[in-house]
Amino acid sequence: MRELLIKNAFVIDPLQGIAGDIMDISIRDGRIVEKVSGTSEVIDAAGYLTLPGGIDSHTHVCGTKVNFGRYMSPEDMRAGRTPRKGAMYPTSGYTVPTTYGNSYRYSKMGYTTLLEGAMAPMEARHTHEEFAATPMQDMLANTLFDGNWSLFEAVGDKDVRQAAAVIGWTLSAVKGFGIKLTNPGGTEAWGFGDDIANIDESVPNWDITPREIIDTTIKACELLHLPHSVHLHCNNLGMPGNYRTTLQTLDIPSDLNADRQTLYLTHAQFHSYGGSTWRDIKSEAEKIAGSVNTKPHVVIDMGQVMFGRTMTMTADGPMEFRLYTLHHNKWSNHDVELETGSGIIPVYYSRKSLVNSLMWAIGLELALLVKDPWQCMLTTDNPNGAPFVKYPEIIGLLMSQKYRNKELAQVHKLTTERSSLGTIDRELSFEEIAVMTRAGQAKALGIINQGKGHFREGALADVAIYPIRPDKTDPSLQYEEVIGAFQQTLYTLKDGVVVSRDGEVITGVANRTFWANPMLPDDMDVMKSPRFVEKFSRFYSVDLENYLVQDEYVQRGVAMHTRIT
Amino acid sequence: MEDKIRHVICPYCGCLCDDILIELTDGKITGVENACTLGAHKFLDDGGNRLKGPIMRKGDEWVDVSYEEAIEYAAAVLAEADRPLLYGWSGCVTETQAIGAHLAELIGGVVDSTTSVCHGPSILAIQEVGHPGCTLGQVKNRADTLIYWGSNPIEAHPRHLSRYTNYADAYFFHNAFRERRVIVVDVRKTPTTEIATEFVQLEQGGDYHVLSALRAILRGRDDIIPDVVAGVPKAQLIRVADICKQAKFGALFFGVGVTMTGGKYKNIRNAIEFVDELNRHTKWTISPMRGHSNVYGSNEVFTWISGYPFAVDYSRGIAFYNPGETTAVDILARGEADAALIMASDPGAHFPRICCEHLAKIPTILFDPYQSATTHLCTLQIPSAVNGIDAAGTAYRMDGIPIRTRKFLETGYPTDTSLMQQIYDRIREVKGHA
Amino acid sequence: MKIRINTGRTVTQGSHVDRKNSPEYSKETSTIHLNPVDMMEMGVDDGERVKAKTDGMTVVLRVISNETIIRGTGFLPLGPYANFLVGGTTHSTGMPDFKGTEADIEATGDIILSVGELMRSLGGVPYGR
Repeated sequence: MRELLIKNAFVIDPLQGIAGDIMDISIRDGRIVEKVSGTSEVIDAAGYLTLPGGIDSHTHVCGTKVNFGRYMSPEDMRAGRTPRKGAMYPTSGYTVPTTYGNSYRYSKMGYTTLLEGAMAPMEARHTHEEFAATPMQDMLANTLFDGNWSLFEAVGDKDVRQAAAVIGWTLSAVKGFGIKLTNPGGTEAWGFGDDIANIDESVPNWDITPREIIDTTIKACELLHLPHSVHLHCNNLGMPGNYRTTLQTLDIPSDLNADRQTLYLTHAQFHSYGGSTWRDIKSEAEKIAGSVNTKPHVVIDMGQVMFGRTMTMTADGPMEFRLYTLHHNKWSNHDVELETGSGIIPVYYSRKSLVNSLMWAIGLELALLVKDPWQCMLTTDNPNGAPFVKYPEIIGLLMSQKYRNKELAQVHKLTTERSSLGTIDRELSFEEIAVMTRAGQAKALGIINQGKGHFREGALADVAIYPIRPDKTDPSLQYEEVIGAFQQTLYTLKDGVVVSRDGEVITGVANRTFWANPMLPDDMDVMKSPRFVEKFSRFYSVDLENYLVQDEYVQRGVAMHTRIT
Repeated sequence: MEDKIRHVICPYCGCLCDDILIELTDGKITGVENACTLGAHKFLDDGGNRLKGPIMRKGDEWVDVSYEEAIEYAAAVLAEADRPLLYGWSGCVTETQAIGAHLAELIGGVVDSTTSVCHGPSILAIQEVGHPGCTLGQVKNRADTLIYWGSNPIEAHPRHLSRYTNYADAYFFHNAFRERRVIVVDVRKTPTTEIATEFVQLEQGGDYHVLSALRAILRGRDDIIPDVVAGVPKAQLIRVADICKQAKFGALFFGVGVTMTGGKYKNIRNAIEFVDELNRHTKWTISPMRGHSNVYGSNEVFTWISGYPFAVDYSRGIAFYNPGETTAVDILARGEADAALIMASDPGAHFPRICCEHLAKIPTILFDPYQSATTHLCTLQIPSAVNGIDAAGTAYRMDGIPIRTRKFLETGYPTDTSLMQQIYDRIREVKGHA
Repeated sequence: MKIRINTGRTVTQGSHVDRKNSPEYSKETSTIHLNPVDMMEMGVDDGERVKAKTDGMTVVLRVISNETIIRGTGFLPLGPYANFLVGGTTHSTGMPDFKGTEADIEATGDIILSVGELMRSLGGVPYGR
């Protein structure tokens, strides 16, 4: 029996409505308990900010395309090398760190749960192998369905139940957590070098549209009662004028879930562009935020861009090719049969570029214009917008108008004309930041009941103690202190064990993988459908029996069972 | 007693065929279905071919030793070595490869895989210009035009054409075989050139020139092409460029014919840029024909652990990568390594002479179930279970698809994963890291 | 005669990778394919032996005629005999010049070594059981 008492913690726990109480946190055997005996270990938090472990609801850290990004970029590896230290293995990489690099750096920042943004079902084993090598965080995988042929057939037949059968089977088969749609229809069109420009345009060779894919998938998701909603990377990412696509997409779903959003629209910054060319491009963050503000059943994450070098990597193959034609950088592509695509290319976001300056401004605008922090998560779509180590700087910008304006003065001079950032005086509070970096993410992902994102009795004892006293700090003026504090915890605890102390990971731990396991009735078992089995064996390049992800890959897996109503 | 085991994964080449059927009679492999000749031999030749136990060279004699002695020796040698080389890895599972990478880090050694003498140049090119590729099923379902460049799949990847390209079933074609075209580029006639719709025979070392010529033609600059480029007539070059442009989906596969000759990695870079150029007109992908069943796995594992796909040098305490300096052939040719661990590969048969001479001089620990050429050079050979027969684990196909091999026999041989783990743990004890 | 030797995989070579000490493997990987006219000039017939020499090292091979081989070149399947002639230079790429070894080839009465004996000449101790 391991007991630990954290005394004098300045706790912000939005899910429990605690907004800055000095209190004790009692931990026994890895969980929060009401109290512990007098002989427990004690940590004196001395009034420092204490939050539940950070949760990143959209990050690219594990899997085929992430590793592609790594091995094609030896120059990036050289940029972030650290030697072995104590329990820490050596690490490499700056924008695409090695798995241990990612894990240690996230742990240093207080993060204990990560959702991998994109996993192709056929390549799930790779993601799971890398999960095991990202030991300081519990992991979840967003599973790609945007080009899934079996799903397309169900969409074409307007058969939500069949769509649910396909999705349900796939998630169980590959131990995935959530449904990811990336440029739905577009990744399939890219199979022959095309893309989709309009959500009502037919996908080549299929008589369906992105709108239909999104709508059917959302309904199937809700039929399956999955913990997380459909997680959508809209069509037309990065194109001037694409805000129209985003607004149309936001109008698709109605409110179908009482516990959480019905649609999670990811990295919204990349989808909020007005104008029609690279010359007259401007921010339409106001319109996007405006739409989100009227839709409590929608949640977005920022996808904030920060200046400097980074790596773009998404399942959106055609978009990455477009970047290649613009920048002529080294470009990789990897289409996955019957399922999805991907592309990787390094980029450099420059203050001298109006487009890049606008991208930077738009992410911040969205976070400040969306009224309810529960509807806007803090992310950079790591590493697409910026490496996640930049989150503290983003926090600083959101909490301080002074810092924002200081930075605004350094970017392209037309930025203030083409966006509203300069006029916004809202400054987010510590509580709002806590929502955007853990509580809101736990709610959006549907893992509150798994003990994530809060300090209720029975919760997993994931704790982050930051070296800052909110009651003695004015973040509006002391933004540098805020940034410094969020860069490195005094303590990060996972499952009640101190894993990181003053920036150094001090012990190895073994993580969990959360995955969804919809329990389907026999008539929805696709393995019993001769048509499904026959098509699988004809058109995939592996046997169905070898496609299924074996238990060995989720040795500490937490299967979240759900049922159809 | 007969038994049929289905969906077995063949652990031979990068095709990683997963539809093999094994017939067992009284616990021995007596039949193989669906495999090519290479795979069939892999399974059928296994019985009775294995080393019974570890063997150690003492002076001019070979003696049998126990696994315990073998582990002790290996751990002692590696812990003491100043510049150990851990090489091979391409036939074993990722779980073992991961231990190899961690071991190199623990002892400050170099870890490299057969990549460096096979598609290492391809990776060097990818690191310069990226890799526009896809999974094999994309090719199977969509490709109407195929190119095999410097590759002879009929002899090296015999089922490639029937599973993934020319003869495979395809979603978007009624009669795929009739609708597909195959261009084969090589310096000599091979069984693969025999089935080509268009055979381009070029001079040894001329791949770079031919690729440059094709790129110029694609850009509308036929005017600068001479009448003959590396033995290839201009008319044929123009015809080939045209076939490529007309493709709805083209897939270029290349082999060691291009990685081992002429400009080596520059050849591959040129080929990748040729495909990049084609992507402005239509859809094309390029893929390396990886030779071993899990060589790509070694790249994946070394990358997510160290940041680099092969030739990783940990002597500085951080991961350091410099092909040409930290690659196995160079380290052995310069006589730098003072100990070697060879896992699941045979440098005795596949490395230049000078490297083999050096291996014979230093303590060399070989993990191989069978006698090989390296057996005669090593100081200790440890037989372990065979991946795909009596050991299971993850392997990465040539296109990056991860498949779990199956264990269908119980032989009592320990797995290389468990042996490597024991060596690692023993060295940690010795070095006081425990 | 100067011959530029190419190497590569063959089905027979590949079928015996787990039996590299077998006579079949030794035969396959020690047999060089030459152009029949070159063979005539060298004075060798199918199945006879030649010495291939490069950089002071010599290896004895068997010859077989193959019309598809271009004059002045040869094909020797991948293996220890072929690599006996390959140097350790990689031009800083890690990849030796496996294909394209320039060798002096002439008829010989010497015998072809087994794989074990070949390794002995490199400093190894053949394992015979």
